[in-house]
Amino acid sequence: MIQIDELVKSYDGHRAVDGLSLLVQPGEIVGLVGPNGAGKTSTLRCLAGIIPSTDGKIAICGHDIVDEGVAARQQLAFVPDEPHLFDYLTVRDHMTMFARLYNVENARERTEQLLNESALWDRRHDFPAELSRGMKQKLILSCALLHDPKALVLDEPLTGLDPAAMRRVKRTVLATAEAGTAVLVSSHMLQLVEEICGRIVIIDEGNKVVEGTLDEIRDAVPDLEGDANLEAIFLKATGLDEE
Amino acid sequence: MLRALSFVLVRSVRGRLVQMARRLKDPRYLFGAVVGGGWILFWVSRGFIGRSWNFQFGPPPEMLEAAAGPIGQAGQLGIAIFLTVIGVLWWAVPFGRNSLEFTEPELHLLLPSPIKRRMLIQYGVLKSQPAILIGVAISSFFMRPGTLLGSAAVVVSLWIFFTLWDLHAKGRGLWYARLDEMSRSASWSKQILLWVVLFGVLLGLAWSGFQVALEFVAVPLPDFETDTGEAFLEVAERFVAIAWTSPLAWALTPLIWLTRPLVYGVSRGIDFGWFATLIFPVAILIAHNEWVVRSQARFEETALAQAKKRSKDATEGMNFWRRTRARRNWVAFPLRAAGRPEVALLWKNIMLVQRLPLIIAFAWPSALFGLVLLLPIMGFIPWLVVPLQVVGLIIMAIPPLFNARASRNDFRGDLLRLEIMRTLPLGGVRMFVAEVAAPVVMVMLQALFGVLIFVSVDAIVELGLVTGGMEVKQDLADYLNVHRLALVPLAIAAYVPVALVVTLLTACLENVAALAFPGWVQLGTAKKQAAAKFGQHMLVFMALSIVMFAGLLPGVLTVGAILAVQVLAWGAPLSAWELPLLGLAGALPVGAVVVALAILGGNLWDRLDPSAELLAGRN
Repeated sequence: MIQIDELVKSYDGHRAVDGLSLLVQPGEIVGLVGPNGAGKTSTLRCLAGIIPSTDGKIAICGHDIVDEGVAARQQLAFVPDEPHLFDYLTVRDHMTMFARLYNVENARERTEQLLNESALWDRRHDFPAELSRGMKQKLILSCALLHDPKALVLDEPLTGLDPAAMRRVKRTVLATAEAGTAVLVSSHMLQLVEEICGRIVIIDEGNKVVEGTLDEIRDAVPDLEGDANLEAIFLKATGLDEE
Repeated sequence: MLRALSFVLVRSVRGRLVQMARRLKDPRYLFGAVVGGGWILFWVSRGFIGRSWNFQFGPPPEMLEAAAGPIGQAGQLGIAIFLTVIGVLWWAVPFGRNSLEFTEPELHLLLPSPIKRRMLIQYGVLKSQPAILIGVAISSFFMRPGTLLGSAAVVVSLWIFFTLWDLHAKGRGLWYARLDEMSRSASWSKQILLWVVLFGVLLGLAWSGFQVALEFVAVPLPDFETDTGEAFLEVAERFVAIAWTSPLAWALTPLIWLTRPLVYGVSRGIDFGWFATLIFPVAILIAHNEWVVRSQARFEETALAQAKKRSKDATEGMNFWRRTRARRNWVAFPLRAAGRPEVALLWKNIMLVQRLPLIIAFAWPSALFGLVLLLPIMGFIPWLVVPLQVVGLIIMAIPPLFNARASRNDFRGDLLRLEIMRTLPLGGVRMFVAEVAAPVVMVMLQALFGVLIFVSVDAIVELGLVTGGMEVKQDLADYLNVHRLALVPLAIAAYVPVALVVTLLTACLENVAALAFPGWVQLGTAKKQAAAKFGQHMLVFMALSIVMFAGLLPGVLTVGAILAVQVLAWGAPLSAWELPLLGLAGALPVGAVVVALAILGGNLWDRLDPSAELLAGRN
């Protein structure tokens, strides 16, 4: 479970995230969308413990990310938008390292399974410099899933992927949620969010604008047609349709 | 057009200064700036203490006199020889051919714009100037020139020297870039011509140097023990008398002329003669600039590739993909999935330096050394014993002090991968310890290799397999009231804990500095070595050295206090049997400093907010 209560993140007095609250239940996939500079990346970075929050509380499976940081991070996996991998480690080295960091049982079988699923098994001896951006993205996702996290946070997971890889990642995310993991996805690919997320949160200027299932947010945003898709809802909710 | 490019340059410098000033709003950086500024101020002004306020804060007059005399001439000749050898190697070895450095935005904006190629290269050349000027300013402080005019002479001379160095590096890079564009046969013929010229230069240098050396050793050396200063002066005078009129000096005249403004300025300040010394270096500078800006090499593609490489922060990875399949399977040591997670970071960081299994990495040079050791045992090169022992001592002494600084397989590399590192399930102190472990392990392996060399050579001497060895050993054993056979094991037992804490201290300081001031510490493994960075590196090196010696002080004081009480107060002579205990006594207080640094580093990691320094622009 991922729980965010009244999260505030300020940079030099500017509030990038301004009192955001969010709950992702086990087995649920929640989509976090918003225009550029809305505070999505700041929220995810605070959630993953990469940057400290200015105020508010974040808990992963009941563990506070500040007070019980190690226990919280043990249950968490974060997939960043830009895969900054270790250039001197091969694909298999990455998996070996993550297996030890999280003390993964049956690491060898799990590694083989995940690398096969992401079509990286044949590239297991390759260094990141030899992989395409999409392959790197798949590798970091495989590393993230190695320890069966209870909370999965994905920042723009489909960037740089080809259509087949996109489908594979979508299937992986759905399967992970089905296994009981709470999944939070941030993406500008609204079609993806619409397709896989059970609930959607639209934020703007650090605040939550609207939250709910697609039908709920369609009803919550005024002046929308009955069959409006997420793009139309998003543009209307954030006022970008007037531009 | 140059005006527009100058505008871009000035605005870039201004932007950097504003960014630096804004960073001072953070108390950490303000504190660091005050301490660092205070230290520089102290360094500059310490010459005033006890002297009149006449800006005579330079070297003592006798040193200036010596610089103007034969010692200065010998120094110029030495520098010229050094520059020739370095220059030849630099041209011959195909490393670091980067020439003009542009950022990705600069290339995308400037290349399509209607700017003459010459202007673009000139802009690339001018871009180095702010860093060169900082380097010159810092280097001038360290040289502590004499009068104000002397200071001005040093600044101008160093600026010419550094700019020339920078231009030469760029010219060399463009020359090689041009070579890559030629056909294979044309490229090879030019390359072979270059090697012939370089070989000829080295051969000429060696031959003329040998002639000077033959003449020099024909007369016995003076007695250094009676009056060392006089003896040095006599040796320098004799060397200059022989070398200054030899073909060696004639051949090196252009390089001697390049250093002449600096030597003249330091010793005599600015007068008409100094301006005359500038003519040749300035002419060479102008010629170098023309050589660079008129280059026909297609630098754009190389510069774009370099800019992309830099922006990806992935420079260290590029050497690895060329490895063979077999080498890709090598690992420093097998890593099982179960166990302490810190070991995973140790494993990863050692892999940055080498994939070769550690046992092989240690055994291979040991076996090689064993073969070398066979030579004196078999009666060949018997004099090799003492040099080998000296090499062992050097390997024992140098790595603990300096090598952890250079390896950079710790936070200095990992702070570039925060999205992974910050999400790992490790508390701050454990993370810090895991990060410093790899450089410490690598350095200790080097130090232990030094121990192996020293002990092995000592053993074959004691076993009577060779004659020789360090004569001082018996005297030392007598002084320390111990049998000579016990001396080395006892000294090694004292050395190991001391080497370990010194290495830990060095590694901890580097990492605490990286966590406390990530905006000031150069991150990543590619440490830029250029004229422009020379001064800054020197400054950081000096600052960290001072902090390191402050960290070692508790250990030194503890050992000093024990010895004072024992020898002075109780009158009990020092015994070698105490050495291991003294080593421990010295190591424990330093170990306490290391523990304090680890806790500090761990807390810094836990509280690190990398938003401004490390993650800005990565949204």
